[in-house]
Amino acid sequence: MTVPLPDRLAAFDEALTLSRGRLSPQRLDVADEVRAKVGDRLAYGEAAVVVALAGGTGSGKSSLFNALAGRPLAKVGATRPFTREATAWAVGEPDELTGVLEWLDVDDRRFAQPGAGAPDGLVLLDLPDHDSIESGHHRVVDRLVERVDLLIWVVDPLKYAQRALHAGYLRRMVAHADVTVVALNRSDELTADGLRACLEDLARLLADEGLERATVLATSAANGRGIEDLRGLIEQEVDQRRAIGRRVAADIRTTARELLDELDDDLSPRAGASTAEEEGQLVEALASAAGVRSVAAESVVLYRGVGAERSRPVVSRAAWRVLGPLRRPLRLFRRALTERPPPASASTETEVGTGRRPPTSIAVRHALLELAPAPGTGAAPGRQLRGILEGAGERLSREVGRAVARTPLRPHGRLWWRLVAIWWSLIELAALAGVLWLAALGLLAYLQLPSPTPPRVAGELPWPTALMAVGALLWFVTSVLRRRALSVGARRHEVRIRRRLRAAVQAVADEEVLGPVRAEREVFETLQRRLEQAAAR
Amino acid sequence: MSGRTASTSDERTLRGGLTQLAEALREPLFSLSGAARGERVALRDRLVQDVEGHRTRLDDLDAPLLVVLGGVTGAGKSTVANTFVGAPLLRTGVLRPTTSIPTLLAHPDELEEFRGARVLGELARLESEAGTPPTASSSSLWLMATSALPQGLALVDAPDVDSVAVAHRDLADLLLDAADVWVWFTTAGKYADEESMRYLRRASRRRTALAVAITQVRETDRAEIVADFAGKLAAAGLPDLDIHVVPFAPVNDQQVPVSAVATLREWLWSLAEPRARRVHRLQTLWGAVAALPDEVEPLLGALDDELGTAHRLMTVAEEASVDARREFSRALDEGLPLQQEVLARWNRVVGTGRFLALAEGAAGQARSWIRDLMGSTASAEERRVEREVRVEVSDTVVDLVTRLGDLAAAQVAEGWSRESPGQALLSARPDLATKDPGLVAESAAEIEAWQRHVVELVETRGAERKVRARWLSTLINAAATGAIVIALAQTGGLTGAEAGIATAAGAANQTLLVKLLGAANLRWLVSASRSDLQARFDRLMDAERRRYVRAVAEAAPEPDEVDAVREALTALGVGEASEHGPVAPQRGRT
Repeated sequence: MTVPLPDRLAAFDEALTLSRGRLSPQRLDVADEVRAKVGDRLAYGEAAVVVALAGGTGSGKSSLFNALAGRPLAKVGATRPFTREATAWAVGEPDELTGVLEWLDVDDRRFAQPGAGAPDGLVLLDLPDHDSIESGHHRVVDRLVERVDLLIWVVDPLKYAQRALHAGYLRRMVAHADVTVVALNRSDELTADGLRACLEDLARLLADEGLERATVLATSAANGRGIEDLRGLIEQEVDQRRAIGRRVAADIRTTARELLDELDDDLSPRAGASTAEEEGQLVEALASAAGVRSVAAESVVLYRGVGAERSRPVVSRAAWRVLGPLRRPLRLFRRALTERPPPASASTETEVGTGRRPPTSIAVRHALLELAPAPGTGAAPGRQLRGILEGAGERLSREVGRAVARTPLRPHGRLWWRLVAIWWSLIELAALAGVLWLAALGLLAYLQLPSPTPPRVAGELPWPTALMAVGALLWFVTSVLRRRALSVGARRHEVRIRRRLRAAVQAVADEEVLGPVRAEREVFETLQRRLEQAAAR
Repeated sequence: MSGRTASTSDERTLRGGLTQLAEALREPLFSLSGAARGERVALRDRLVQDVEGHRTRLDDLDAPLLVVLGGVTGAGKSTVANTFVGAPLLRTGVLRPTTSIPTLLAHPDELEEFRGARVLGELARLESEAGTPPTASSSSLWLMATSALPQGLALVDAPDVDSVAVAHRDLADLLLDAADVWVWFTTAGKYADEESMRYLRRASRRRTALAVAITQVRETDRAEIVADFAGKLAAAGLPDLDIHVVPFAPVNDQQVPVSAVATLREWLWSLAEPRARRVHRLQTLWGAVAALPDEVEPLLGALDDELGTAHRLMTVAEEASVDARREFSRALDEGLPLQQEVLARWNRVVGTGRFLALAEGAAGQARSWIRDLMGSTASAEERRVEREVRVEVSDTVVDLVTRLGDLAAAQVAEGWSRESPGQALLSARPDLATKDPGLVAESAAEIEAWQRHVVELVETRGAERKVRARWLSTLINAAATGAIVIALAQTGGLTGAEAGIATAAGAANQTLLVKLLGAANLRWLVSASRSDLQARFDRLMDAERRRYVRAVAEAAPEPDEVDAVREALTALGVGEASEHGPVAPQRGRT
C-alpha cells in the first residue's frame, strides 16, 4: 500500500468537505455512510478482527463455521435456507469484544478462550445466505458484509459461478481483493480432477472480474480438507491485525473512485477559446453596460471646466465673478440670435472606436454564456460553474453601475494650471498697468497738466504702450495655448478616467463572477487531487 | 373442450389478435428514452418475439410437444435427459455452467419438424454425431435424433438461468418462452434460491404447463425437503404441484439409474399422446395470452413516459422562444446602441436642411439639381452616409438576433440536459446545442426586407399628404432612414450622459421627420415599423423553436401507438374489456 492510512483518511475527509453541495447528494450520502462506518470501525480499534463466512444457501457456511470453531455452534439443516440469523464466535475477553459485537448488531454470541486455532481477538461470523427467497437474509448480509474485516465467501461446486454472487457482490468489491477469501466448500463431492478443474475455473472467473489477488482454496467440512489452511490463514490475519487497515483502505478507495467518476468533466469555456479572452469579453460588455465611455466623456467636460477655472488670471477672475449674474441672460440672448440646434455634440468625437454593442443586459448574459462550460454532461463541476454564472448578469450590472458612480471623475489640481494662472495674471497686470499708465497720461494731457514723458523701450516705444500692446498680444497667445493645453489635458484625463473605470469594472467582475469561477475551478482541482490520493492503490 | 367449432373460431380471433398485437408492438422505437432505451427496446423485442411465438404455436396445434428442461446450473438437466434416452448424448460435467448450447432431442421421424424456422427461428441449427463437442456460437440449437423418445415429444436441454453467463439466461428465456411444457430442475441445495423461484412465479402467472424436479436429494432429508419445497411453491402461487424427486445417485456414463427418474419419465411420455399434447399446448398458450396485458403494461407505461418527456422538452424550447421574443421587445424599447458617430454623421447630413428644401417643392428641387450640376458632392455624401446608417442598423440588429439566438439555444441545451432523454437527443443531434448556423444569414435577409418595408410605409403614409406627389425617391429613402433611426435608437433606459448625447444626436433627424411627415404620422410610422420588426424576429425565433420541436417529434412515439396496442389487446379479448380473458383449460398435471 503506497498511501498510508492516515493520509488516505485525511485526503478523503478533505474531499468530503469540498464535495458538500458540489457532488450529487445521493453519492455523498453513501460516502458519508462509508466514512462513518470506517470511523466506527477504527474507533473499536484492534481489540478484534471480524471474519465472516458468507455465501449462498446450502453452500455449507454453518458446517464450515462449526469446523473452524471445532464445536457444533451453528445448527446445520437440509431445508433451505436454513440459517436465519448471524452467529458470532468470539475469542477473548467478553468485555473487550462486546463493543464490536454491539456495533455489528449480532445477537447470537458464543465466547471462547484463546487457544490452538482460536487466536485472541477473532470474531468469526456465520452469515445467512444472500440468494434465497428470504429478502430479510439479504439485508443482514448486505449490512454485515460492509462491516467485517475479512470476508470468506463460501461457495460449493454447484454455486461457484452463481450470478447473484459475482454480479451482486464480488464485482463491486474489486478494491477489497486483499481482504477476500473464496473457499470452494463441499469439495468432497468432486473427484480430484473435477476439483482441480473447478478451482481453475473459479480462479479464472475471479481474475476476469479483477479479483486475482483474492485467495482461493478448497475446503470440506465433511472430510476436513482445507480447514487447517483456512484456520491458519485466519490466525495469521488476526495476529497481524492487518485486515482492518486493508479493509478500511479498500472501502475508501472504492468510495473515492465513485466520487471521482462525477468529476471527469471538461471545464473549459464553451467557445473553446482561452479563458482570458472570454473574461475580456465579459469586462467589455460590463463596461459598455455601465456606460464607461460616456461617463469618461463627461470627465472631459469636467476637466475643461475645472482647468479653465483654476488657470484663469486674477483680474479676469474678478471680472468674471462680477459679471457672473449677467452670464445666463447673455447666453440666452446669444442662442436667440443664432437659433440653431446645438452642433452634433462635440463630445461624440470622444466616442471614436466604439465597438458594436447590443443592449447591455443581453451582451452581459451572452458574455457569461461564453464563459460557461458547454451544457450537456450535467456533471458536477459544469453544473456548479453554470450555477455561479446563471443570474449573475443583473447583480453584475447593478454592482458595476455602483462602482462607476463611486469612481471620482473630478481632476485634482494641476501645477501647470497654477503656473499659467500666475503667468497670465502677470501679463494681465502688466497690460493693465500699461492701460492705466496711458490712461493716466491721457488724463493729465486732457487736464492740460504737464505730463512726464514715459520712458521708452529700446529708445523707441514708450513703456506704457509697449506694456499694453505686448501684454495684449501675450494675453491672447496664452489664451490660445491654454485652450490647447486644456484640450490635451482633457484627453489625457479621459484616458485616465476610462482606465480607472475599466479597472473598477474589472474589480467588480473579478469579485462577483471571475473570482468565484476561478475559485470554484481550483476547488474542483483540489477535490480531484484529494480523491485521487484517497483512491490510489 | 366442448366443441371443435367454438374452439376454431376462438383460435381465429386469437390468431388475428396476435398478428395485430405483434404489428402494434413493433412500432415504438423508444428514441426518447435516454438511459432507459436499451431496457425498453429489449422489452419490446421480447414481447414481439413472445407474441409471434404464440402465433406459430397456434398455427400447428398437433406438432410435437416442445418440452424444455430448464433450471439452475448443476441440477442435472443434461444427465436426466441422457437417462431418458439411455445414452450419453449430452455432455455433463463439474464445471459450472456446463451446457451453453441447447440441444433438442426428438424422434428421428419428427426431427424434420424442427429443422425449419417454425419454432425457435432465431437459433441457427446444428447437427452432427452425438457427443461431438459443440464449438459454434451460443445462439444455436443442436438437433439430435433418438428413437428412445416417443413420437410427438421433443425435449430441449436448456442452459442454466443462474450462472455468471448472462448469455445462458437469455438463451434459456428464449427457449422457455417457446416451450409448450416446462420441466423445472432445481437441487436440494438450491430449491429456495430467489433466481430459480422467480421463474416458477412467472410460470404460475402465465399458467404454463409445468412439472418440477428436485435432484440430488438424500434419502434421509427427502421428506423434510419435499414438504419445505411444497410450502415454498404454494407461496409462489403453485399449490398442489407434484414434485418429482430425483434422489442422490451415482452418475454412470453421464446417466443416473433409470429408477431415479421413473415418475418424471412416465409423466413426460404420457404427454406424447395427441390429446394430451393439445391440452397442454393450449393451456400454456391461453395462459400466456391472458398474461399479455400485464406484460405489455410496462411498455405502454414507457410510451406514456416518452410522451410526457416529449411534452417537457418541447415546453423548454417553447419557453426559450418566448423569452427571446420578450428580450428582443425589451431591447427595442430600450433602444439599440447604434454607433454614435454614424448617427452623428447622419444628423449632420440631415441638419444641412437640404432635404427640407427638397420637400418644399419645385424651387428647392431645382436649387438642389443646379447645385448637383455644378459639381456639389452633397448628394453623393448623403447617399454614402445613408448607406452607412442602413448597414449600421442591419449589423446591430443581426448582432442582437445572433446573440439572442445563442442565449435561447443555451437555454434549451441547459433545460434538455437536465434529463437523460434530452441529453441523448443532444448528443445524437449536436447541432441542436447551438443556434441554427443559418440564423445569421436569415436575420440579415429579414432586416433588409424590413428596411424595404419601412420605405413602403413611408410611401403609403406620405401619400396622405398632398406633398407626396412632389417627393423624390431620395426624399422617401431619407425619411425612411430617419424613421428607422428613430424606431431603433430610442434613448429610454440609457444613463443620463448617454441620453443627452443621443437626444442631441437625434434632434435634427427628429425635426426633419416631424416637418416631413407630421408628428402623428411619425409616431404611427415608428410604431408600425417596430412591430413589423418584432414580427420578423418572432418568425426567426419560431423557426428556431420548430427545429427543436421537430427533433422531439421525430423521436417521440406517435400518440396512436399506445392506442394500437390497446386495440390489439381488446381484439385478443384480453384487453380492458374482458377481465380474465378466455377460459383456459385445466392445468395439466400428473
